[in-house]
Amino acid sequence: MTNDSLLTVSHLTKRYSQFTLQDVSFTIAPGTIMGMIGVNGAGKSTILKSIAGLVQPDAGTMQIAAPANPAVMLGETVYYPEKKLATITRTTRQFYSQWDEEQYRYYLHFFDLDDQKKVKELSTGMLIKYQLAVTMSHHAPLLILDEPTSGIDPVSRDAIRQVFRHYVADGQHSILFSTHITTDLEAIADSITYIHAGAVLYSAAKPDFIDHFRRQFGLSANAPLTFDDIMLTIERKTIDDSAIPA
Amino acid sequence: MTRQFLRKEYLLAAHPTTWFFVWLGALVLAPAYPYSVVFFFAMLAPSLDLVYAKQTNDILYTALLPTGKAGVVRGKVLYTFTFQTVMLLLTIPWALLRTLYIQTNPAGITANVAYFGFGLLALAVFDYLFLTGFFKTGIKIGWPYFWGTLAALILLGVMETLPHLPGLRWVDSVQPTALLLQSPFLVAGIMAFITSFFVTMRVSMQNFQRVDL
Repeated sequence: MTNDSLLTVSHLTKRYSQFTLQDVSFTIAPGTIMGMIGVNGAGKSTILKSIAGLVQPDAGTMQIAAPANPAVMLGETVYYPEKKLATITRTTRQFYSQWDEEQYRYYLHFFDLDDQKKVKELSTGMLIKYQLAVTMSHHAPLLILDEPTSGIDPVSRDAIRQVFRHYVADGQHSILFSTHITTDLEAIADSITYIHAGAVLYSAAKPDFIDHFRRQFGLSANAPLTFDDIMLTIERKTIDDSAIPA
Repeated sequence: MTRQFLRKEYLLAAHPTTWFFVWLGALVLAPAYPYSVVFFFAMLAPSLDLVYAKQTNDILYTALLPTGKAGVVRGKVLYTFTFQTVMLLLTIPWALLRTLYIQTNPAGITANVAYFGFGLLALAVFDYLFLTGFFKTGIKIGWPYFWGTLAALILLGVMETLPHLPGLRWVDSVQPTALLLQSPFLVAGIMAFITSFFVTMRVSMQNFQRVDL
C-alpha cells in the first residue's frame, strides 16, 4: 500500500476445483468509491472475502490500510436472528477501539432504525441498513461491502448512496462495493472494476471505463453506452431454440 | 480480549440450552443414576453451540471482527472450557450434599474425587478431538463429535470398570481415606484439562487458518 491507495491487490489468485480466480490486481485511492461488477459466479465475492481474510489465496498480496480496523459487510447475511440489534451492537463495539457511538446513533436515526427490535423482525433493507450503520461507526479507512444495495427499495438505496458519498467526502476514506445494480455504479462509483470469469476484465476511473468499452465495441466517442449495455454485450447468451430438448 | 470474547459467546452466540445444561450436575443427587452421563451433557452443550453458531452465522460474524478467524477459535474454545468448568464446579455442592444422606450408587460410580478426575480427563480428550476436528472444516460437526465422544466413552468406561477390579473398591468410595487415594486421578484430570485448553486452542487456530469461509 502507498500513500496513494487504501487498498492494493496484486496478482491475487485462488484455485477451486470448478473455478479459478486468476491474477487479480487493482488499487483504491483515498476519497473514492470503487464499484465491482460482474455476473453471478464471476469471482467478486471471492475477491472481497480474500481481502477480508475469510479466504486464503493461493498467490498474490493484499495491502490494506489499518488492517486492525476492518469494516466488511456481506449483504443479505443474517446474523443472530433472535437477538436485538442493541445486543449485537453492544457486543460488536467492544472489539473496536475507535467505536463512535455518536456516529452510530446518527446512522440509526438517519435510517429510521429501532435497535430494540430483533433481527428477525427486520426487512432485508432494514437489516442491510443496520449492518451499514455498524460498519461505518468505527472510522475504518476502507469499507468492503458485498452487494450493499441488493434487495433495497429506491428510496433506501438513495439514502445509502448519500451516506456513502458523505463517508468518503473527507478524502481519507474509501469504499469498495460489489453490485449487480448498474444504476448504483452510475450514481456513486468513481472507479469501476469489471470481473469476468475470475479475472479483471478492466479497471479504471468511470469516464475512462466507459470510453474503453466504446472503443472496444467500435462506437463513436459520444455514442450512448450504459453499464447494462456493457454487461449484456460481454456476457449475453442467446438461446438456441433448436438445441432445447422437446 | 478474553473478557470481550466471553461476553460475545455467552450474551450473543451461546445456544439457549447452555443455561439449562450448566445445572445438569445436579443429576448426582439422583439416588441411582449413571453419573458419567453428566459429562456427556458437558460434551453435548458445546456441540449444540456449534450447530447454533452455524444457524446464526456466528462464525462469519466473528471472523469479520478485528481478530479475524483466530477470534472464532478463541471464542469457541473459551466457551467450551469455561462452560465445562462452571458446570463441574456447580456439580461439587450437589456431590457433597449427596454424601450427607447416601454414599453409594447402584447404577455406577459415585460422585467422588476419582469421578471428577476421570471426568476432567474425558472432557480434555473430547474437547481436543471435537474442536480441532471441527476447525478443520468450520462446518462439519458430526464426525468430530463422534470421535470425541467415543474416546470419552472409553475413558469413562475405564472409570466405571475400575471399582470392580480386585483391590480397587476404594475408587468408588467416599470415605476420607479413599478420597485421599483418589486424589492423583483429580490432579491428572486437572492437568489434562488445562493442557488440553492450550493445545486445543493452538491446533484449532492452525487448522482454521487454512479454511475458506
